[in-house]
Amino acid sequence: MSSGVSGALVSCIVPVFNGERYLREALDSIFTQTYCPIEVIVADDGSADGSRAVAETYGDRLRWLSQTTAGPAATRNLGVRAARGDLLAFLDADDLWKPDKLERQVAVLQQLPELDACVCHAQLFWGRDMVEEETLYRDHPRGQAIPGYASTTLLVRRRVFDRIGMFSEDLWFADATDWFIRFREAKLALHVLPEVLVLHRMHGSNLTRRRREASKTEFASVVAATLSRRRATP
Amino acid sequence: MNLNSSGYYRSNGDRLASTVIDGDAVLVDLATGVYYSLDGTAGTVWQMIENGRTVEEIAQRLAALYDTTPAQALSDVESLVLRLLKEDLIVEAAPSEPAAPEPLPDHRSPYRTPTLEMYTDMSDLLALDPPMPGLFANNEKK
Repeated sequence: MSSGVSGALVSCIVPVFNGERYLREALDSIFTQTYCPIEVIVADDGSADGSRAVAETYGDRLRWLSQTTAGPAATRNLGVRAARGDLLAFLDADDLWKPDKLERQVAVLQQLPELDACVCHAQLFWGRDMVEEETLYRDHPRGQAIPGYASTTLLVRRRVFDRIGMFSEDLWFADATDWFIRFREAKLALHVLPEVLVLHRMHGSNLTRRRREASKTEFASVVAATLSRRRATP
Repeated sequence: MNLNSSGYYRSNGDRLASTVIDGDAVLVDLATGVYYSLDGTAGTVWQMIENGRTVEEIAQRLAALYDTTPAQALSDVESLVLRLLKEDLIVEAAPSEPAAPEPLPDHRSPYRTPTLEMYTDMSDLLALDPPMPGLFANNEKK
């Protein structure tokens, strides 16, 4: 690990549920970050596969926390509660960070203390077995670099969770969207980096693919609740 | 864009996330992050579209439920359906089974012209995390 920038401890929280297939790639993308100091917390949501065995190969370079399956939001919150850093970042076990992801974001937060969080852009990518699907989205808006309002793109000061609360554990799909909506409603300060520093993997087991209708309904319900709150505000 | 008042339409479900709460519908365009609300009478129209009713059937039912004339209801429903088509929120559909007769309320409710409200303020927030549109129309895993 080289270090171009150093400063505050960044807690890197990796929620995992039966993620053994891609977990090593995800963790390697953390351990090759150009920023330090970091701590790595793998928060397990009751995996029944070999995720733990993958994590254990990293020895004491990471902490493994586990809970009975309670959903992605509860798993992220497990990591947040255990984190020791003043800055928190999240990486889903099937996604990747580019090597300078933390360095770029920490630099922004160091330069601008009034900022509460920083996100970057994200780019979807498909495995070699999904070339047809990748082709379908080549010219689609969702196939381009997208401003990353998702947990994997986020670097956030710990104090924000005291201000707007944790990820809503009754949500299984839209918890990050709901959290960013609350962030915006609280008029907190966010910087969006134009660079793509996160790669979001499309594969056959994406949660929103496996449970598509439930996830669609949940996203619509979060938007409906937001609209309702707005209308109730004088 | 032509409207067939005897034709059938359905929500463009593969592209949309939608919910109906207390009779009001909220639709999210998964491709753009734009979202829409259909309140009151418009929510009633949306639910009848989803239930496979024609424009004419919807207008008749609207005039039975609300304090308006059949002609006004038909004109308003046609306008709303055209707008929904223009926004790609509905598409033409195959004919449905005839509707079972539905009971009439004791009193008709006050009528407001059904309208579609469009919001773009959360397009950025809804650009990355929601499910991808168009991928899984025929192969969703249970």
